[in-house]
Amino acid sequence: MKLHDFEQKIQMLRELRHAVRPNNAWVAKTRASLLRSLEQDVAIKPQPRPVVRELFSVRWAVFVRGPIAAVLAGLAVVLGSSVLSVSAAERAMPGDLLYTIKIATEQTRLALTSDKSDKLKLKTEFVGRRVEEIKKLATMNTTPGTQERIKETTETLKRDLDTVKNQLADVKTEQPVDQALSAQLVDQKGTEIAASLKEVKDVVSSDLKPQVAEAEAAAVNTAMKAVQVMIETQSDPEAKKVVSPADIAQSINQKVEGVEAHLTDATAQLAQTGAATSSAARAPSATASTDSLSLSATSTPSAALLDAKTTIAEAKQLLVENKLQEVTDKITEANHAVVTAEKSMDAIAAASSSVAVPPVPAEAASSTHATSTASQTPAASASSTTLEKEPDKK
Amino acid sequence: MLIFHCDFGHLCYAIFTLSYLLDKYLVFRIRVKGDQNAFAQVYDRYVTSIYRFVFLKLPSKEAAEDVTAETFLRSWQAMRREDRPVANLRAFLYKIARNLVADTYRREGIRKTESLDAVTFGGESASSSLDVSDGHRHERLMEARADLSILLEKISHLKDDYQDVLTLRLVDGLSFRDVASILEKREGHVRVIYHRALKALQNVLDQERSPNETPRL
Repeated sequence: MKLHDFEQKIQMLRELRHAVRPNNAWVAKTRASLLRSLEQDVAIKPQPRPVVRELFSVRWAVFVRGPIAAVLAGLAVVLGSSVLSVSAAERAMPGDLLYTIKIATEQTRLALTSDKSDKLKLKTEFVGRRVEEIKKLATMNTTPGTQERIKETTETLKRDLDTVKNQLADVKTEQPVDQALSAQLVDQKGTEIAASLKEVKDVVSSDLKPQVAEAEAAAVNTAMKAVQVMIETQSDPEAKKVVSPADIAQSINQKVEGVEAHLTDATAQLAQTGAATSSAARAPSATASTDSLSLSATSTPSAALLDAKTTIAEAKQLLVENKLQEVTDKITEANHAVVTAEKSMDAIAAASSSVAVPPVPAEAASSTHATSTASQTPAASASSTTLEKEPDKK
Repeated sequence: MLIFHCDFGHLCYAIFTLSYLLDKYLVFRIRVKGDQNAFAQVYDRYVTSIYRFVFLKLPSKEAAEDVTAETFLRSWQAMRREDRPVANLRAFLYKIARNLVADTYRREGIRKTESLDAVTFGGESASSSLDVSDGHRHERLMEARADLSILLEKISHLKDDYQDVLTLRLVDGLSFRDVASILEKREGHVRVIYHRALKALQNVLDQERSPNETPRL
């Protein structure tokens, strides 16, 4: 054999090496079992190590020779400091100086990832970060400019959730096992995000509530899309092993419960809105306008909530019949109805507060109290009494 | 390795640097924070390369899978428990995988070339060891495995240093930088060893063609 033949054989071997790929199911299984075994290991805290030594583990002695060494050392410092900046930027919040670096790092990591399912996982992780940021900002709500930051971050979150939803469709062309695992991850994350945003919604000012509610709806929709993808992958036996029908059924049950809880909250809010508009109607100067407003507006949310209730009942029936794909459509529909009702109610609340209500003298208030109670809008009173009973019916 | 095959040098250098920085960042997260997500990312980035690296060296697909999984577990333990810094994550993983392959052979008490012969010409089903959809390419890969056992046999006549550098550089396709890191030598030194090893290999091959001469190793 000549050296040339030898090199040719080596070249051929290296080209063919690319045909070797581990089995996707094995990769996923090993990943999961490795992470499980790490959980026990994490409990053991290692000795604290100096950060600088950790990041700059280069043999300095090699570089301290001649002028080239100086250039290399300079480069190392620049690159090293960028690592430190990235590490510091990790904790940056929207509006901070380092927040741009944080976003740029995320974009770089996304750009470096070629595999579609990996990209989706990464994007999902970043969406989780946005929610954490919103949660932290909501706790320091009083700081000037925070409202604007929450608004911007919520908008970004909504956009990112839509991207994740679209990327789920892209991953469809990939391996079913990857697709099922990615969809499961997105589903779990989407549900967590929706729960977190619900908490945030209770804390933020009324101006921000509609934006947060929209983001919450986007999270639910993304999770539902992920469930739909999980259902579609069930035709593949390998994917079925990784994400079982029981997992999907459990996830759908959670979604139904979530939308039901949302409906209960919205019903309570409707009752409050009805009471608020009727109390606003007590003001003599605003009686005519608020009466007509409450008549036209409360009837829309109550109808939407009733629709949502019916749709949830249908979804539960379909779930019993194991028609999972139809169940997901119904849940999406019910969620949309609840969100629409909430938006209408927020609009009513905003309109009521914008109407100038002059201070009412004590005698006038007491004398008009009986009439105002009697003149409470029929739609509001009807809907509040009907819907207040709904949780008992469940 | 990318840097050696890419025509757009600067672009490749930028990507290489970013990839290197990302590795550093992930190692930092694992060592300092015990971040499991960071470890999961390390796994996702390198599982295919490590599997590929050990696959041709071991007698079965199952052995390759075991060694790959063990490599990642050991890497976590090393990063969490040992105080030694990890300068090059890729080389660090390859080094663990390489030691585990050696351990496997030591445990089994067989030589590498014998083992590969056994796989290539033995009775093991081809489909059980490879996930290659194209039948023709699969056949070529099996032939390549046979060739590898012959090539390793030739290389085995050389000094240990030469064997290591030639195998890592030629057969495994690693960069000089990674080879240097695995063998704990300077990159320049590895380049010198590589060129000397090629000359020595040439002599072995010449000797094979004219068996009366004595090889100069």
